Amino acid sequence: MKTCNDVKHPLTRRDFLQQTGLGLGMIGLGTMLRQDVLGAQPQGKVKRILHIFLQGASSHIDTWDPKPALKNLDGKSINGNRLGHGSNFEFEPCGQSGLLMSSAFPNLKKFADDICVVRSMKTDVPSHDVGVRVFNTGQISLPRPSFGSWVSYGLGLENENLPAFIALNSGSVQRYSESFQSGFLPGLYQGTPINTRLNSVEQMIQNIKSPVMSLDGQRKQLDLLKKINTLHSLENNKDRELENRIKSFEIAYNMQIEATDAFDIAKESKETRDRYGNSSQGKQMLIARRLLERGVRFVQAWHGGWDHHDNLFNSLTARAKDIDGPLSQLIADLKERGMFEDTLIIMGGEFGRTPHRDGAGRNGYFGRAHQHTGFSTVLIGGCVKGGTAYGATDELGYKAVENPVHVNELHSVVLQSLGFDHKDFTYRYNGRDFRLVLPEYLENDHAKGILA
Amino acid sequence: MKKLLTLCLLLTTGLTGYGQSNDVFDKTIKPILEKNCYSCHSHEADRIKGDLTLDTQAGIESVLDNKTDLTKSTLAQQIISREMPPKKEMSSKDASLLLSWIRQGAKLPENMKKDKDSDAWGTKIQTHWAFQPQYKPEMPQFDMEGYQNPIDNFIAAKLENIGLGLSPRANKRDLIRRIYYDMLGIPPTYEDVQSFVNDNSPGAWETVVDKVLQSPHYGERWGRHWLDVARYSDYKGGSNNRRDDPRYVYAWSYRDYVIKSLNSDKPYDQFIKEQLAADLMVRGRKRTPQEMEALAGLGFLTVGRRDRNNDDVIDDRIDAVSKAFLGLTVSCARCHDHKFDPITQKDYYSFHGIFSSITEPDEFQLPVVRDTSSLKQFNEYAKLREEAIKNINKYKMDGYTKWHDHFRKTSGEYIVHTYMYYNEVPGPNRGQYSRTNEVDNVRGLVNRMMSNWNREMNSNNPFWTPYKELIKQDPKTWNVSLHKMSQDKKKYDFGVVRSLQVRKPQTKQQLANWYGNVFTVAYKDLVENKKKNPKYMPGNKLHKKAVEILLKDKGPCDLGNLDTFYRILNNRERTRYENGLRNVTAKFINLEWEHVAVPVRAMVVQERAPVTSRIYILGNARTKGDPAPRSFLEYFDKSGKVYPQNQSGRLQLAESIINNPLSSRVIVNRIWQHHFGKGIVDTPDDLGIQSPDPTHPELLDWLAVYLKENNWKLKSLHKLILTSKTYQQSSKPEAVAENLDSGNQLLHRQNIRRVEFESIRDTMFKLSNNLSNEMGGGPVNLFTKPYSKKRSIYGVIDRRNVPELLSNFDFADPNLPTGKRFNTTIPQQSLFMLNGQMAIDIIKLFCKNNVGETAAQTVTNFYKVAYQRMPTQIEVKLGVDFIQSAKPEKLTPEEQFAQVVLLSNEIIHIK
Repeated sequence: MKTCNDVKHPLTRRDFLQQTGLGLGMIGLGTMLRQDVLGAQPQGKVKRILHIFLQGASSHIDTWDPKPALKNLDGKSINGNRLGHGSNFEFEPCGQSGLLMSSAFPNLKKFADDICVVRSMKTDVPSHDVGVRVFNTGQISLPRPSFGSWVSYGLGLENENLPAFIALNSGSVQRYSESFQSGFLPGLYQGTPINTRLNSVEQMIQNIKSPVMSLDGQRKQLDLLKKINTLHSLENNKDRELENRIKSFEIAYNMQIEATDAFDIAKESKETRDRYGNSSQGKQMLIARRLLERGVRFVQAWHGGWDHHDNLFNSLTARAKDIDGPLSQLIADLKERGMFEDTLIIMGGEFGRTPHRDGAGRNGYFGRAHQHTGFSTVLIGGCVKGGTAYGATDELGYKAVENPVHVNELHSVVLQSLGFDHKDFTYRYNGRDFRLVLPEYLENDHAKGILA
Repeated sequence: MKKLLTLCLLLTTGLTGYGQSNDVFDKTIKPILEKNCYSCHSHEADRIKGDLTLDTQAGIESVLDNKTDLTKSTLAQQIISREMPPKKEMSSKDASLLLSWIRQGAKLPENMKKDKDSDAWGTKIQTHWAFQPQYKPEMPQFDMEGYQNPIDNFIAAKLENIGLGLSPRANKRDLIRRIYYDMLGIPPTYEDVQSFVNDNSPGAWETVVDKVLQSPHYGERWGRHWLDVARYSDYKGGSNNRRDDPRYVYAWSYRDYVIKSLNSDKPYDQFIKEQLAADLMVRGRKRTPQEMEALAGLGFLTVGRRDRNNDDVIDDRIDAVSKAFLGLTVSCARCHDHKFDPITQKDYYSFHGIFSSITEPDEFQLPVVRDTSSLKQFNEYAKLREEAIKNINKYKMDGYTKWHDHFRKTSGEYIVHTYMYYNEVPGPNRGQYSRTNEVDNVRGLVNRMMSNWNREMNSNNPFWTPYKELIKQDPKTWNVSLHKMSQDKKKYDFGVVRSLQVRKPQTKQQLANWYGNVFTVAYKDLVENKKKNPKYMPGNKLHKKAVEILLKDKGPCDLGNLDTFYRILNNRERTRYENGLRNVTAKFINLEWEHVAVPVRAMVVQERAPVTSRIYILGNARTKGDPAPRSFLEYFDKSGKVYPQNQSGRLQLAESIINNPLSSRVIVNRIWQHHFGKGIVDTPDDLGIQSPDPTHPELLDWLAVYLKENNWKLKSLHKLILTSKTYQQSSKPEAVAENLDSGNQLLHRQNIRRVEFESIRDTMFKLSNNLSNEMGGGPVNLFTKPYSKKRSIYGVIDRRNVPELLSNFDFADPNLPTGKRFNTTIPQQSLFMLNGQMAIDIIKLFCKNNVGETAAQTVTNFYKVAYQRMPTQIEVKLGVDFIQSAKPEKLTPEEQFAQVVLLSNEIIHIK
């Protein structure tokens, strides 16, 4: 067990970075070298993660945490002078496991046996900015490396021609940029935000294509550059840093081709594109698949518009429809490609919503207010106990009462699924070992029961 | 082994291992012991009872007398039998936690105080080099001709131990490029290089050294290093959804202060003092202009992150001060004593008290520390500023007036709604009621207004007492009641009673309507008549009373202060107001950032009534422990002297820091690092127990003392380093030496280094003849057209949103003090150089300025400007061949070649 006061460390990635005395220069150049030194990849089952972030905080009661008792209390006083709000969605047992699933996600029902719903999630504060921060960085107040950056740091790059961490969004995530920043971790592990609403790859990725040169022209430039650099490097007895930079231009050149290719869904057949559909999430899920296939370690897909204070039934139906089809398609494709077993899909919002009414009842449907004491997060993949629900909220869905899982503890579980001990998973910065998981959540690891 | 042990215990008890983790022990067990046992059984006890101490492992072992079954030991039995604690009952939860801890061996964490007199952190701190007193070590004697610089003696002595010596001197071109980048962050010109190469006088190098030390670019280069440490940003950071403008108006005055201080070779002790306490350094006389400008140094404290929680703001300051000046991680002791270094939680809270004892003036009204009124553009600026402030005030006033009128005009409606809301609408529906109703075309009722009216309507004002009582009665009885009320004119306003007797409302709603109507009519009458007669008051007694209620201080319609009135509004209206306010404020800040004649205003702090902070137990502000008087770190100031009662203690803190040997060690190490690419200690912000051993501890101390002997003048230190043979060595790696001195730990050669992003950008601008020498002023835009021609240090830094490009190039995280940047080489950097619009624009400019008549001339010109040397024959051939065979695209062949030249390793690596 590692705490603040252990002094000796096993050879970790971080030690490797620091003890070799070469700085981080070569790490960006791929994992080959890293494997040489570290021996092997982390031994976890999971090799890549897709995090579908339902920003705005989806209602657990209408999606993954059925509360039949609430139906009878609809419009009646509960919890003091609040009015109960029974769900307008129907739940039915699905798959062999009989996991109860909501009519909001008709297509996902066929994967009931692959889904593990954590019904006892909790977080710290029911406000969006803090909630998003806690979910994506594990920290309530301080800007720290994002969850995706930690994961990328842990797993390293699989494909050196693509960033390890890509955050797909439809724009306007600027205010949440800390959700994919690397903080004090090296810039290599920073999430690259991609606005998938933009039409072309050139618009999506900074500097991915020259505005003035063709690839052929650039090839000639780089050939000359290589010669000039080689002359320079020879004069300096092939200093390692110089050699690295020579290589980095070759990688950059390849990245232009590979990244352009990865984001170009026009390369998929029309039939495939139709299967994923035209919605924003259809496009994102298809891009996500192409990225996961190409070795991107952490894909975050932002799905906004879940803050349903009013008219919840209509709004949630529409939002769920956006993701239901495309995600089902993605799962099917991952299975077909044999990637499902070592991919982990996480879906959920920054917190949950209240069992009582909120809003004016627009279009005949009320909404729900913010709630951080109990909500659901969905895990899908070969590493989880499929067809199960972990933990529970109380009868009405206010509070996680059985096996509560704080967001930090969920992070621990994910780290474990990658093959890391969440306590050993540290990064030394400025005289301190930093951890993704806060100390108060370190010891409580019952949640690993989620894992198969 | 430890791990295995924990696992076994887990298996047998099903509980987590307390003894192994300080966090768990501190959180669960220690509080129980403190609450129940330690008042008699610890070294902190006034009188230790029964000669038993439970805060040492030995003490615990003495009552852990049944090793086969720990639960049968005296310690456990005393608790089980409830013998202990004797005078109070331990909760059963606490008792069971304690027992499970005993079952696991009752282990105290290793760093728990062993006994009162010994150090809590073991023996290591007693021998840790950085905590030792400072002395000037003896210089290793070396019988080598020409070794005149003490640095070389120290370095060569260590190299000799492994059979190595210093490398030969680098060639002159490499040397002058090295010193220009190190000291100024930009390359020399071809002519600079030539004149040095051709100067064969013995003082040639020293001339170059003196020249760079006099250059104002020195401050721009080294200032950036310090800004990394000072976690400088032009943005406040903190909360995501702050509604005010997220920018600091005058953070840049701190940046300029740093640059100027370095350029003027301000003694480093003075530099420390000014950044902590410039406001306290001059007492009882007028400040000189320099002393005025020094106030901007306080920005060191104030440019940090602005979290919503003030304790986090203080934490940021403690962190910055202790890392920057002392190389200590004091902020680790926020929740518990430092795990490794001799820093107690009490130390942390004594610093907390210091930074709790200060305030800041309004950010728009910071003191002017450099007057610019003599500039010819000043009048224009002054006018614009006045206008901008006027606009802000007008916006506030307009908003205020609008809502002021609105709430008075609609008072009649609000009275009726208030009646409905509190009397007719069931609780659960109230939210919906207030959201869906509108008054005067404003959607949604303002809850605060209804609550104000409710309070007013239920007050004992005789005007309202009839309402207050009737509303509780059946309307059928109102006739009788009103009659009774008419008898008591003192308690019930006779005018009101009389009118109600005449009007005869039949329902409660009608009663409320009647009241509302009085206000509506009264206010309308008031507004109309006031146009003619500003002093008008209604003659009608009822109307007069209503108007008095509308206008009274703290009455239902009182909006309070101009700056805060809008807080009562609903979310929607409030957001709308705040957005508008942000827009007019942004114009003001833009002006202060952009105008040439803006005076310098310092982000100062001020003293306030000093406070003594109490320890937050486990860092929790709600559970406070003992007071921690403002003072220096106890271990480092054994006198235990407490700072004066009547001051925050910042000045004294600065003095304590200066007098501590750490401060000079830290700055020497920082400077060394930037000359060699690596510090004598590799962790410049942490010289504590966990830091790696210094490669040359004696040299570090020798230099630290040297710095002090030279009045803390940093330039004297630079000069000593720059004139050493160690600095001037070649950087070329040789296989044999690399093996003997792996990683060049002992500096048998110089290091080849990639320059930072700022230098890359500045170099490209300089080579294309596009770099301005203009210094200081508001932050500028670096990355989008029109690109500022100023040096990169003047670029705007947003700590919440560091541009991807900067992150890709290892820019220091502006949220934390950073003495050492990463040095990564990643493809995104190359992509920027290859495809970035800015890079391309610069390349075109470079080409235009330097293209020759022939291809060969072009190649030669490019090499001379970019690399400050002539190309070799083979390089000319490569270049000419390329230019002649490349296909023109949007870049001409010459431009394509220019790009290659500027992309090359030679540009951005210092040899």
